[in-house]
Amino acid sequence: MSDLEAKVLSAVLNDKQIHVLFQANPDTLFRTHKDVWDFVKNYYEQNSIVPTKSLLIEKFRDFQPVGEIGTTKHHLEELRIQFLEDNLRNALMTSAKQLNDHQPIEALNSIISKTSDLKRISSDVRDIDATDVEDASAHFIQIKELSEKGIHGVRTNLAGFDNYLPGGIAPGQFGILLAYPAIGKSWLAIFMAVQAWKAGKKPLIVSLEMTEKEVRNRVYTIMAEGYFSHRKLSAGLIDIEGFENWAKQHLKDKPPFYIISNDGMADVSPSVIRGKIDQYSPDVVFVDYIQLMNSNQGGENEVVKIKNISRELKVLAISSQVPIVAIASATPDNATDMNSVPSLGQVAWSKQLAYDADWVLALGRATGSTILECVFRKNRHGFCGEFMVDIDFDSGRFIYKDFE
Amino acid sequence: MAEKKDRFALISRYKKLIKEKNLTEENINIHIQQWAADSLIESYGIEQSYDLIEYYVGVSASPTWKWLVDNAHKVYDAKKIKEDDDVARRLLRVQAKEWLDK
Repeated sequence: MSDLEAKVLSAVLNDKQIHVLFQANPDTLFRTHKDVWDFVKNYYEQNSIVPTKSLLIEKFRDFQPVGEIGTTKHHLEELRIQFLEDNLRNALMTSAKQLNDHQPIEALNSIISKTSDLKRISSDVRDIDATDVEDASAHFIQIKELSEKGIHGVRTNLAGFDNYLPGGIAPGQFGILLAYPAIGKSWLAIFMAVQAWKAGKKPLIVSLEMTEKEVRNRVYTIMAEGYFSHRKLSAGLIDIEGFENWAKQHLKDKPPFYIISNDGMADVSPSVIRGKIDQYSPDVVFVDYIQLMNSNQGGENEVVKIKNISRELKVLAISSQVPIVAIASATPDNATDMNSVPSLGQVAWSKQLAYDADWVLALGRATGSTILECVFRKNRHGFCGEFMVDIDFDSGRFIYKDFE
Repeated sequence: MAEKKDRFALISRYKKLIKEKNLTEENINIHIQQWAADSLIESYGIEQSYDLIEYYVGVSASPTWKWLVDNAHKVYDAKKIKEDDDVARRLLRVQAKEWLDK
């Protein structure tokens, strides 16, 4: 390891490519040569030049630059791989020991926490040059082709939503559905998931509020567009033969539709969702709902927890290039008009969610009404417009309505 | 200090709205609570105090006079946010149409 660290430092003294190190943020990677790296970094920050070999040898008598050396980028990659291997091995050994001691929960928590740290350390920042017209044109052509084939962003078939988010729910996006309790957030999320599925995509719903069977009932209700009554499905009052015939016609040769629940006991953190993304490779993930999740970094107070979850989900969406739509509840008080649509300031526990999200769709529904008011409170990819959806919760029908 | 008839009228309006909403009366000692009503009127004026009361009784699931007079600033803020949002949304609807037509 120390050899690799010396090679990276020697390489940067040689090719002066210190920006490669700065953008990789390698502070954690240096262990035996941390003092040398700190000196090189501070020297550069003060003098805008990489120190000479002789200065470094004079300052650190035990540091010997390596003679024949490659580029900084190459040796940094070697160091990073070695660092990951060492740390991953340690994490696995610690968890294996805990497992041997019959502590499976501690083993799982330990591996989740350590691997999420390692993922953070080993991830690259991405950069593009905005003046690189060829790169931009290639990107636009690719997006256009994907859109024409209907395989870019997820469309919802709600004209308002699709108009205001023209690219659909695209890879890497982090969206939020925000509402007060019992408005229809979960129904709308499931509706969006079903529309994605109908368009040939693989949705994944992580439900921490309802059992997977309840979610499945809602999924069937929406998929069947009025053929089933949700109330009857929930009570098991259906003709099994009719159901099986329907399933043969509508579910056969279709992409899978994953539903995950935690039976109310297990902790679900962004790392767990990452694991499910790796396992199922979904095209879009819905999380219901964010305040019931746990952060990778364990239990803190609610504000810090939600702040961390928000950041972790955002990073997960970008790094996995899978859009994540999370449901968040809004906090009403005794003076809040529950018939109104919540604002960004009313996100429960942490406003960080609103900062991190690419778009926030706030929902409101008057007591006893079936009309869901949907307002984009934030939209980085389109206009902050609004629309309405008339929902029949029993038949699972969603009818788009525009404001006059 | 607000006029005596305004203080009592405010409480009376509140009681009437509560009775319409809950079909039962809230027991308020008007001789003591007239001073809470006085504070409301002094802070917001009589017309705005009526508006606050109407808004609060309309939106709260379980309104009480005590909560109202202790948290009148919260009611005022919530009402203002709602009104401002209504105005902003009306404007955005017009702009959205223009944006979509482009």
